[in-house]
Amino acid sequence: MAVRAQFEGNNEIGVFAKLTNAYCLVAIGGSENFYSIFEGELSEEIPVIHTSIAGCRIIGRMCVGNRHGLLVPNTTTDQELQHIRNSLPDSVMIRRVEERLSALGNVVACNDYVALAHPDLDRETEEILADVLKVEVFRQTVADNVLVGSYCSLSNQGGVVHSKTSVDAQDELSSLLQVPLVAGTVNRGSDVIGGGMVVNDWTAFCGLDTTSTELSVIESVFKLGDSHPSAITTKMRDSLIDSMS
Amino acid sequence: MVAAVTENLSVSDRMFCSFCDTPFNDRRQQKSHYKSDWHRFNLKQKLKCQPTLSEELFEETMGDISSISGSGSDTSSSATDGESESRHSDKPKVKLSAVEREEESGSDMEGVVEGVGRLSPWVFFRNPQEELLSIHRVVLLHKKAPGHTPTQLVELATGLPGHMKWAVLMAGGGHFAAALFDGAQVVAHKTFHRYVVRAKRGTAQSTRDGQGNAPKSGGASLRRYNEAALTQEIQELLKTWSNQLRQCDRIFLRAPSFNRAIFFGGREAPLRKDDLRIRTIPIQTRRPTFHEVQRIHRLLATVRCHGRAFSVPRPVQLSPKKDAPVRNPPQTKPAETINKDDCPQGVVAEVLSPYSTVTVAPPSDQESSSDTEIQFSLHTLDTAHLKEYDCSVKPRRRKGKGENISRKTEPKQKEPPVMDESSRKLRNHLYTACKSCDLESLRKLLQDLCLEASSTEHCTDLEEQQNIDCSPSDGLEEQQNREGAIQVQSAKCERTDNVEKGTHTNIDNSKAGILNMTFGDGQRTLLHVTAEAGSIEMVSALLRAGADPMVKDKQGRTPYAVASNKHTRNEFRRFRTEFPDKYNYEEAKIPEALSQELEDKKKEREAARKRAQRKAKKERLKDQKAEEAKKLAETKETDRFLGLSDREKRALMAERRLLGQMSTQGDTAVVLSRCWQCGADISGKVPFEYLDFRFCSPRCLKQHRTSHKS
Repeated sequence: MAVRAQFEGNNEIGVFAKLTNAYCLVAIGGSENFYSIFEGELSEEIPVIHTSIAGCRIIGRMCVGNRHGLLVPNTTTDQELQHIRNSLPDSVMIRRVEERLSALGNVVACNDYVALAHPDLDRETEEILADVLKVEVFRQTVADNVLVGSYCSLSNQGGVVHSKTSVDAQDELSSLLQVPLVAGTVNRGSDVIGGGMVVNDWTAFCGLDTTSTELSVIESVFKLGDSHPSAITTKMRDSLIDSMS
Repeated sequence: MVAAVTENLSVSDRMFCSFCDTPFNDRRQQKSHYKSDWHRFNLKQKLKCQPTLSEELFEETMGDISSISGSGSDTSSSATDGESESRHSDKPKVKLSAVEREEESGSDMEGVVEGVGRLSPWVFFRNPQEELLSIHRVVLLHKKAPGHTPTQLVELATGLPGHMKWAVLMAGGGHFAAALFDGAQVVAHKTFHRYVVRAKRGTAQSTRDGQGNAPKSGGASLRRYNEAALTQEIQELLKTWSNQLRQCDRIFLRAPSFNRAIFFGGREAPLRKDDLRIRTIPIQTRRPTFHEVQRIHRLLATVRCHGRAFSVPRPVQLSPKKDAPVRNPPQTKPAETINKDDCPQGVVAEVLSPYSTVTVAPPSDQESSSDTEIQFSLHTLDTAHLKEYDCSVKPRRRKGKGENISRKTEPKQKEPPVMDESSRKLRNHLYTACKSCDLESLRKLLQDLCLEASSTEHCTDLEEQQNIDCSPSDGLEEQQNREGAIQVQSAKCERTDNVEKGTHTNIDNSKAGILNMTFGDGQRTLLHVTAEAGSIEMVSALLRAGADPMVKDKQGRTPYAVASNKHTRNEFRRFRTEFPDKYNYEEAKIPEALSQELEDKKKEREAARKRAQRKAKKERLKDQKAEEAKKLAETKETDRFLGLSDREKRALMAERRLLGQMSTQGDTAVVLSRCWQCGADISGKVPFEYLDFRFCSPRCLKQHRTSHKS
């Protein structure tokens, strides 16, 4: 299921939240409504952690993570680090990274297996990404934008990229990441996919402005809920019918 | 439309990189391509809208630049630097290999230029083509190595290609990067990073802990642990590298502050401090990364070619001393020149010194005029300083004080050069004698002093006599002057001052000078010392020897004022009687003269008074004693009375009443009871008793008792 939410009147959910298959981080200082949307949807399966990073609420853009680990910038304070570590499941590693490009969420996009990284990302950070998140790191751009984290959103099922990504580039990326990709928008035409939504393998949160068309694209590409046509009704349909007749 | 988009959702199998324009055969090839430098280079080129390179071309141009690290905008520039170097071979930067060739072809490097003054970080050479080359000094020499002649430097430089096994180690801020090089090849490299530096604050945890009151927070303990772990990791790594490190010709090290302990500390320190192969990296470095290590290696291993027109840059001069004239610093060595015939293998000719031009250049008019200008400005600056002080109150006061002190201490300041060894000894002996109240030695010393004064000053007794005669008159004059000074102008005061000074200086070297010399911080004279000690004989001896009672100590007290008892003070007054005109006694604060008869009279009076006093006191004492005895008897009586039984008390009362009646009636005394032993009348008195016997005194009681016992 893809859910619409708003953080203090702001539709950029991806900025104020970080969602993975093992945990969810939400910024502190939001309305109870915002938290209840996340907790209602997630708290049975994964912890929803209220935190700030380096004193900022834009936690979605500051950190990068998947079910194996979480990387936070070196401006993260000891208290925040301690709090996050205490709240995360034991299987998740957390690591502070000394990286010039400190908004890690903007420069890295990843799922549980692969990551796209900013071309200027430090080599050490790349190594840490590979070690902690257990991903293959590829330096690539999305629609000629270096901020790969901002302009695409990935899960293990699929991904949405900037709407102006060429078909060739989409194909290239798709073959690189080994997930189906779709060029799309969120929040009524925003290209900043990573900033506008968060997604994991079974749910997604978009801004309140997201249209139903956008929502249905998102649900189908990330294979969320029941809406996407199952294999029985699509690929197997003809053959099934053939055999029955 | 949505259906159209979502229907054909599938993972594409397009194995192609559009940046590098290459297809891939399988997933493995694809992955490795995206991690290659070639892809990164092309990616960046594309982002900068510059043409991308094919793989072959890239390999050709990049050559040894094995990594294009991401972070740091420098990377792209360095990459292009490398490119430009290779493209434009006439650029100033030339790779060492190129120079190696040059050196091998002609080992006749012409001259060596060595910076003097503060050591230049470069050593300059001139090759046969008259081009200037430079190498980092640390590459050739250890910092502590003794000075080398130009020929030796040339040998060192030409020998370099055979010694290209280098190690570059860097540590700082929790980062560690090290690499071993053989020529341009990286033999081994390793980087570590640990969270050691405190976020936001920016110092290492150990540094913070060293300041005391170590924090106990989780972060602090993390950092502490990480610091120890990092040290261990590095030391373990260096242990595994120890063989290779031993073979290295140079070890370039960057380990600021506490990081030095990683390399030189511990029981099995990886490196030794006295190792001459260890050189500090002489250039600015960034965060220790493998890329940075490579950059430093590249820079150090580069021989720069400055071309022909380039002149040797002036090394940083030692900062000139404040007072010394600024120009032509003398500490610079004169220009060295090596004659052609002196040098072996035709290594030659002029050794340029950056100073040669400076020192040789004749001072033009302009220069000299500018010099005077500088001096002038300095002068004005000085007066400005003074003016500033003039304005404020405190400095002025200080200044006044300073003047005072200088005036006061003027003779004192003059003395040391004048005073010879013997007189100083004498003075010290005098002081010791006074301090220890040793009258005998003092007298002896004073005698010596008189003799010495007469001998050293080459003045006869007569002259001395004159001098002594003179001094009272001087005193008189002075006194008169002083009295007059109230009305007279200040100019005259000055003159008296002059007179005073004159007399002082006149007798400075005489015995009076020595006697009136002040000692120590308190500026006390011998007379002060003796007066305070309260020794009459010594005071009189000193006074008679010519010690001046007018000299005041630092607190403005005359010897009379510091005298500890009356006898000493009287000694001063007696002296005044004896020599009524010798000193200005008003100034010496000595009250009026004390003559012998006056003193005697006073003594007598005092004695009489004392006698009367003593008598009165005796009487008073007698009375007191009587009173006390009476009181004692009374208390004894009452005690005895209280000890009696009620019946006896009543009997006693009755007895007394009877007695009283009889006495009032005027009858003769009737004996109502008698002492059992001696028969004395005890009627009306409290008796001493035992059993039924009563006695007048305890003695009777005792006698009676003993007699009856036996």
